[in-house]
Parts: sequence; C-alpha cells; structure tokens
Amino acid sequence: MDRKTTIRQFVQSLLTQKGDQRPFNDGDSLVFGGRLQSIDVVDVVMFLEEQWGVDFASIGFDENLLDSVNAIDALVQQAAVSR
Amino acid sequence: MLREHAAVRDAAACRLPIADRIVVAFVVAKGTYLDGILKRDEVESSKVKKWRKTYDLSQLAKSAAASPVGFNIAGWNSSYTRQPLPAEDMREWVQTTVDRISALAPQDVLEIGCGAGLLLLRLAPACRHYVGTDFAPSVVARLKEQLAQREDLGAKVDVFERYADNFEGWAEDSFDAVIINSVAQYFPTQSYLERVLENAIRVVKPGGHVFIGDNRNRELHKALALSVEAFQSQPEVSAGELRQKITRRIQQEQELVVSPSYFVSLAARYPKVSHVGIYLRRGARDNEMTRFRFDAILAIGNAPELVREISFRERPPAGWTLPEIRSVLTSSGAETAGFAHIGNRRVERDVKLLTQLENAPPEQTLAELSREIDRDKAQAIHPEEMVGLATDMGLEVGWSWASCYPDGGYDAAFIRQVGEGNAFPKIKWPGPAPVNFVYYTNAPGEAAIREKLASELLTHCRSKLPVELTPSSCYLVDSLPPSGGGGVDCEALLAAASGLGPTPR
Repeated sequence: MDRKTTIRQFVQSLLTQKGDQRPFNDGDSLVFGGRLQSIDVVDVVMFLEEQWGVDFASIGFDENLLDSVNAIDALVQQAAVSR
Repeated sequence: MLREHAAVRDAAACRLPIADRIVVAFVVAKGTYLDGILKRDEVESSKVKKWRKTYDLSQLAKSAAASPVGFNIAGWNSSYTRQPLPAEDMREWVQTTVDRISALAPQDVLEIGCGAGLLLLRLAPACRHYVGTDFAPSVVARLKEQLAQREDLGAKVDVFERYADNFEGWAEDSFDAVIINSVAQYFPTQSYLERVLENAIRVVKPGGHVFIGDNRNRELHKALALSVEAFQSQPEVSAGELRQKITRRIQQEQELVVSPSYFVSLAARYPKVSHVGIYLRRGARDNEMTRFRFDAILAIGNAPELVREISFRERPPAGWTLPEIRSVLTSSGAETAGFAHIGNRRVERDVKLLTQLENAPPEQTLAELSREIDRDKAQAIHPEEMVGLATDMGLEVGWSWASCYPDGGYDAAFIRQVGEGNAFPKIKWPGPAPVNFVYYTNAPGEAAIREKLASELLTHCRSKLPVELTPSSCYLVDSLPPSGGGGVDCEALLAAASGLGPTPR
C-alpha cells in the first residue's frame, strides 16, 4: 500500500472513531475545517512517529502541515529527506 | 427496583405530565461502577497523556521558541479560526486573571498546570512560597531555566513535573491558595475534576481560596458551538445543516465543559467550603474566553458572617438598561444594591441566533436568520460598561453567573468601595435553578458507554416490573435535585432530559 493510502486509511479510521462518517478528499482541510481537534492531531502525530519515525522535536510542529492527507504526505516526505 | 442494580447510587422515576402512563427513569450511577465499565483508570491515563502530548507539541512550534520570557502563548488558538489568539487578547486575559487572584492576597500558593508561567511569573513575586506543577516535561524544563535567571524568585518558587491529581507530600491546610487556571477543561472526566478539587480543598488553610479559572460554561455550550459553526459556515448554509453541525460538534467535544452549578454544589458536599463565587471573566476584548468562560472561587473555612446578604431587584419586563440601573443607584443612595438577570451583551447575539435557529424551518439560511436578529437593537449590557458607572458612584461592582440563566444573563451587585486590592466581598448570590443541577458537566467520549448502561438498566426493569411500571426511557444524570416537598424535582429532571434546560448529555 502506498504511503498516501496508508495515511488516508488512518485518517478515515480516526474520523470513524469520532462518529464522523462523511467522505473527504486528499486535499480537504481536516484541522482548520473542524473535523479534527487538537487532541486528534496528537493521534496523527503519534501515528507518523510510529509508522515513519517522524521526529517532531527536530522538525518543529505546525498544525498547518497536518491539515490534509496531501499535507501530511508531504510532511512525511520532507522529514524523510531531512534525515 | 433500579436501586437494586449494582450500577445505581440513586434513582427516581417520573411520570410525564401530559401522559402519565409514561414513566421516565433518572439514575445517578455509582462512580466506582462507571469507573469499572469505562475502564476509567486506563481512559483517564490515556486522555491525560494525549493532552500532555498536545501541550508538549505546542512548545515545539516556532511561536513558542520566539515567545518573550513570561509571555509564551504558544498553543493558545482560537476555536473559530484555529489560528493563534491575538496577543492583545491574551495580555488582557493574563492581567485580569492575575488581578483577580492578587486580590485574594495569597502568600503560599500551589498552582496546578502552571504551564509556561503566565501567572506564576507575575504572582510569585508577591508570595512567600509558590509551588507550580505541570504535566508537560518540556514546559517544566523551560520554566525552570527561566526561574534560574530570576534571583528574586529562585529561593521561593518550586516547579515540579506532576499530573494534576497528584497531591503526594502536601499536608492538609498547607496553602493559602490553590490555583487551577484554564486547566479543568483538559481533565478527562468529571470524577477526575472532583478528585483534584477534593484534594485542593483539603490542602488549603481556613481563610484561603481555591481558584478554578477560565472554565468553559456548559450552560452556553450550544451557544458557543453555534457561534463557531456560524463563523466557519457559508451564509447560505441551511438551518437544518447548521443544527446537525452543532449536534456533531457537541457530541465530538473532547474537553470538559462545566456548569457553574457543579461548583455551587461543592459547598453542600464539602463542609470546608464556606462560599462559592461564580464570576464572569473581566475584560473589554471580545473573544471566546470573555464570552463563554467563568472563574469559580471557593472560599475555604471563612466565618459565615463574612458572607453578606443583599437583596436583588427583579428584572423588569423589558430588561435592565444602564440608565435604569444608574437611576436606581442614585435614587436609593444605598451602600449596596443587587440587580438580577441582566442581559449579557457579550453573548446576546449568539443566544438570539440559537433561539432563532432552534425554531427555524430547516431550509432557512444562516444569512436570513442573521438578518432577522440583527434587525433588533442590542438591548443587553456589557459587564464592563458597569465599571465606569460604579466608579462614578463610589461603588464597586461584581457580576455572577451562579444563576445559570439560559440566555447567559448575569446578576450584578454594587457595593461601597472596599479598598484597593481587596477581593470583591463574598455575597450571597442568587443560585441555579433545580434543572441546572441535573447535569454538572458533559461526558467527553462516554456517550456510547452511558447509552449502553442506560439500556441495560431498562432491560433490568423490564425483567422485574409489570409493564405499566416499567420506564420507557432511562437517563444517567449527575444529581437528583430535591423538590420542596421532600421528594425529587421531576419537573427539573424532565426539563433537563428534554433539552428545555441546558444541553442534555
């Protein structure tokens, strides 16, 4: 499974757990669009740390960079390049 | 019958007034039972750790590193825009909080959730000893570095990494004040909040205070949800869709939202609490903190005669206006005067929009609803408008939200000046109606389990009772308000359950 699909499936499961069954596209705003709250972003962070070893202590943290499936994918790509 | 069940601490059955064959059951669940089925230890631990990580992450943001010492507001984001709150809003928020706590003149302070030291660095200089705790290791580490550079604070301030419910090592009556400011909303459950407060009350000396500041008001939870959703929606969004968005937002709420009635109830449950004050936030800036949050101040062990009784004038049919209040104060010339149920300009528009929305046909748009309410002139009074009036008349003014009016209104008391720096006197404020005691807080993340327990209790009743006595529905509530006649206030319970009171769970 490619990375973006993995991310999309994780976001889907997170939303489903919250009772949010509405569909979303890879470019849709998740955080600023109100579908994910700050505490949900922590789940995303922990997933990225475990799955791809993203180290937020070294790259910094910015919710803007986790706002959509596309943005998350780009962040993981950037983090991999930076290592 | 219900009380026989292992889950039940107390229960009541009420008949619907319009169809008295229909019985509705209300149950206060045993805390230990709920703890068990909710695996509360695990849930609390997991939730608290997640909030800790949220806070730690906020410190990794560029804004945290760039923050001036003593004013690290990283992580303070608007619910409306998800962007950082304006610095001026936060400056006012910090200063009004510091002013309110300073007026209590504590010497030995415990602050739970001291964070980056927004309050600590401003309050500690006037204290004899200040203990700050926080659960986020990065925040504690940074604060310790800053304190190491402050010769005036080094010897009298101690900072520890601790969870809020850890009071190990602190004896009874060892502090003048415990401060829990803008922290309670991150407590995972009502029982966690109760545990923290029980300990806070224990460790504060008679004459001291527990200050629980910046609490999200459950009585206005729906109004806030609408305010945010309306801000984020297009004007063409329909009333039907907006109602769904609000329901979803409230159901998915992760933070603890508390009614003032919860704090009021503490005085009956903890003899050491001699007075409870529920105060609107001070501030001229318009933001979600000034609109929708309040401070609760528990006075510990004061003599009862220090609580002043004043009479509160009932609201006139058209509502209070500033000229009317001035006229009453001028003509009476009294040293004290109380005014009940003043319309609150801060939330007037949000509450009106909510009322319109609840009665609107589903296809009506937000734009149309907004035009309808904006046609009416604003009638309510901004609390800060009364400060100037009070000063003109040589009085001080305080405002209380203890009454839990559904429109966000408040009670105001004017008192002859008590002297600079003193806290507003302890007044016997009007209190909440019985309906406000039914639910003390929301129950973030517990809806499914609570529904399951309610369903289980109904099945229990069906197996034991004849059909005509079996409840048709069952609600888990926080308390059973008493009626005047010695029984339970069924009217309040049924109102709360039907949504005629504050948002039911």
